[in-house]
Amino acid sequence: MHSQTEGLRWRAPIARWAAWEARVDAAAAPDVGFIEPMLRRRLGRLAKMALRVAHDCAQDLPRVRFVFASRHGDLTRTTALLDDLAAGEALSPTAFSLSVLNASAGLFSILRNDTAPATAVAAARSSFGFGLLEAATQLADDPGTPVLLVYADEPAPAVYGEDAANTGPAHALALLLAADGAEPARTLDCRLESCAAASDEEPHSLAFLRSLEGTQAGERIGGAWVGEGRRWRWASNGNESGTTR
Amino acid sequence: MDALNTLRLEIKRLIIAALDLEDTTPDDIADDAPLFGDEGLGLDSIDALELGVALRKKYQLQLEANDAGNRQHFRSVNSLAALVSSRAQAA
Repeated sequence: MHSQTEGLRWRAPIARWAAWEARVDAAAAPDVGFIEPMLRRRLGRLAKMALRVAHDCAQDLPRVRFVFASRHGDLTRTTALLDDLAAGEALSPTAFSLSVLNASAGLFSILRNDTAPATAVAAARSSFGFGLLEAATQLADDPGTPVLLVYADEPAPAVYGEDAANTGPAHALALLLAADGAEPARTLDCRLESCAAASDEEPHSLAFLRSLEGTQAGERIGGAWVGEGRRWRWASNGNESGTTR
Repeated sequence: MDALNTLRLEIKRLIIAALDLEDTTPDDIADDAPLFGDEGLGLDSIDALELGVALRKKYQLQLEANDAGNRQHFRSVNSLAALVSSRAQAA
């Protein structure tokens, strides 16, 4: 028996990944010309980022299970609704329907006409880690079909204070976890354990993205992120036996 | 007649702004074209709610949610203009 503090281990076979970041212009949004105009008109930046990377990662799959994770969700939209409420204004039905965390997952289903299950995860600063854990758990439960993880986040509006705005630049990352029998580009061994150290400044999603960037399929990667009392580690399968590094 | 034309144009602009129809101009919306469904502008049920809110804000138009007449009122720019002008005269 392992207690919670002794940690959790799982495997994440990464078939491919896609990312988008507002690196230069903080207000930039990705091009989503692949979405038909009547659906596209309603999308906020968060949904555009999520759908862009999801499309880049999984456009050739007619059906794919989808896990959407975000620290804040579309808090920009929610905040505008709250401002309207405070001012006694009528709420926008469109904004209301798209302000929920699972809105991006729902839009993905509608856009693709894909009835595969969708899950939305929010766990404060640990949202990327728990999203990845959720996706890997779904894959372990049913290894026969792939699972798409999409993480998207943008700084919270200023009214929530400095910490909530500390998400790094607006960004989104999609990881396709490979089904059994498909050859993943790399397989990661992941570990989660208790850790008393102070939280890392950089978001988990960006730390993970930095370790993927500039690498070739099959090339070994590894890293760790500390936040909210936990350490998350990821390393290419075999790294721990000391074959590289 | 001019007043009604002005009102029609105003309603078209309201529809475009309220529903984020970025690539649509007032000229693209025929006065009598169906707003909803596949044949005309292609708006959906969320658009109907959004448009209801916009009409209430701009014209103080009170609409009952379960009024069977709403479907007819929301059929086209013409029917909306008729509704707005008749309510304005009644007030």
